[in-house]
Amino acid sequence: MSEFIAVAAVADVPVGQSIEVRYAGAQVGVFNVRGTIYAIGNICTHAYAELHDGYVDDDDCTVDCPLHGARFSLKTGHHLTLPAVKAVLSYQVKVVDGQILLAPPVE
Amino acid sequence: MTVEANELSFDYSKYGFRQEENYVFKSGKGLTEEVVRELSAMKGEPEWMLKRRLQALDIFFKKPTPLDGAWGNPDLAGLNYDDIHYFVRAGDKPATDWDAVPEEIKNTFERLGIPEAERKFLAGVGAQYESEVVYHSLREEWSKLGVIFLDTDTALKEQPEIFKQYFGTVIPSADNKYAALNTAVWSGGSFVYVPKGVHVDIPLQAYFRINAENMGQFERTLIIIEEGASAHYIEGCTAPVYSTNSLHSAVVEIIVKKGGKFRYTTIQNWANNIFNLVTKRAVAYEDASMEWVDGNIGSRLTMKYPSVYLMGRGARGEVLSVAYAGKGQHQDAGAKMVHNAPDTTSVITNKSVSKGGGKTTYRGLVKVHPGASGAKINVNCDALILDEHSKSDTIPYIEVEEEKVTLAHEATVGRIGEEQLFYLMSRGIPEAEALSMIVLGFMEPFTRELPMEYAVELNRLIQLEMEGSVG
Repeated sequence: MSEFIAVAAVADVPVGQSIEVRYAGAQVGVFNVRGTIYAIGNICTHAYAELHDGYVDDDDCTVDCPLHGARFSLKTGHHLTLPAVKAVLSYQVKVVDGQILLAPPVE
Repeated sequence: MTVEANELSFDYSKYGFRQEENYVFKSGKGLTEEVVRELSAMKGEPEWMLKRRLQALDIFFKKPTPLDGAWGNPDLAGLNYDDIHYFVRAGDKPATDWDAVPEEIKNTFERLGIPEAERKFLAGVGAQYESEVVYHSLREEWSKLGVIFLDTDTALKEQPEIFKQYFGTVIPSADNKYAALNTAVWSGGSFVYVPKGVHVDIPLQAYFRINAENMGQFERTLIIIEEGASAHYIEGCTAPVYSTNSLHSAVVEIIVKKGGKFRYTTIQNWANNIFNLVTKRAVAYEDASMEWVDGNIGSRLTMKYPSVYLMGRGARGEVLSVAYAGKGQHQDAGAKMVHNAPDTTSVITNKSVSKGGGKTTYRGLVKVHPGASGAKINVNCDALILDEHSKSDTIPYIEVEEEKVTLAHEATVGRIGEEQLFYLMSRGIPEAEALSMIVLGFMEPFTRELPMEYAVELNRLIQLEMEGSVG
């Protein structure tokens, strides 16, 4: 089921901002880095915290968890620092007619 | 072991002396963005580091002081962040020759026996005085093999790529309030890089000295052990006794790659007015071995839980620690082991002694993630309480999310038995000496792991602390 589903309007996520949306019941963080939209699982794999509240580094395209600082790649969902030892999901993103569409991660 | 308790003329004045303050720069009290900007500018740092510092400062201000909760401590209420100098520069740049070190500072380290120890049995030495390293050297034979042993400020300048690749990846700024503080104002510390397959078979040492009153020391240490390499690093810490508090808040990050072996030994003998709030964490990959050997004698409050993240099959972690808490002291020390790969092993051995109203706490975490099958964990905590006024707590957290795991936890708390004392005294040993022998015997699993010079010194320190404990 790799169907793309609209989750928000691009206008909801201005450049440099991030929001949380629901996709198939899961919490997903949607980030706008210099005009490109990224979507990854929004819950840190170390302890419960929402990544869309974290610090985004535009140069490296990463987000730091606001609770203990674990860093994740916005492009792949990979964990780049401790204390996280697992990646978050990375969703496929499309922008059509000003809408952000998500599909499940590619295996 | 022969104990000459009555002949000891040893006292803390060996460590407790003060030198005149003759500094190149000393920041005002309190922490502001200006202090951080000034510090970074004086060091001539790249933009990315200033950005990282300012972000960490923001995190430090936002995170509450952990006075309660799983890893909190109400004793932290005694720490006044506005009454501390965050950056004190004692010299211009690190010397590689003891003769080039300013006279008062050289005297300090000579009284502490550092240059002599270097000549005798060390591969390299770093000596930090207040905020910065004043002396650093590595024997030529090791530098020829590609070993890098620098103070961390110099490493940022001379090894920018490897530094940026690893800095903050084991302990991010937001890990806890004191890791954020350290990231905002870090200065000094050691940087060690051991290339693939190189075995540094004699220890590298760093010595950290606080001299000024109300001083904050925030050294940052980053150690990378490449595949199949090995090394041993030793740190010692002292300060003079003042009536007001100082703060020592270090961050130590260690990466041990496949098949590497590393041991980190600490003998902390801070004066009893120092808050010692340190974050130490290592990551060990496939078949790597990481050992923390951690002795805590001094300080007013120590909070330190050296950790090992076991990230590859067959990785091994060990924490062997002792804590001694006398009057007015709280040694809140422990260990964390996180198993994230199959067939990993960890051993935690913690020994603590409290006396004269002192308090020891063992706080530890063992976490086994799903998939870490075949993990073996052994936790052993022994506490010895020497009188009715002293306390000891054991707070182990164990989280296992995998079925095939072997975990043993053992804890004992006790007082010295009258029969033991009576037996020794019946052999003609005076009571004070008998007591001291029993305590040293209790700590022996720790001291036997130290290089001989340190074991002797530690035993003497414990004997000193034990004086006057009878009668």
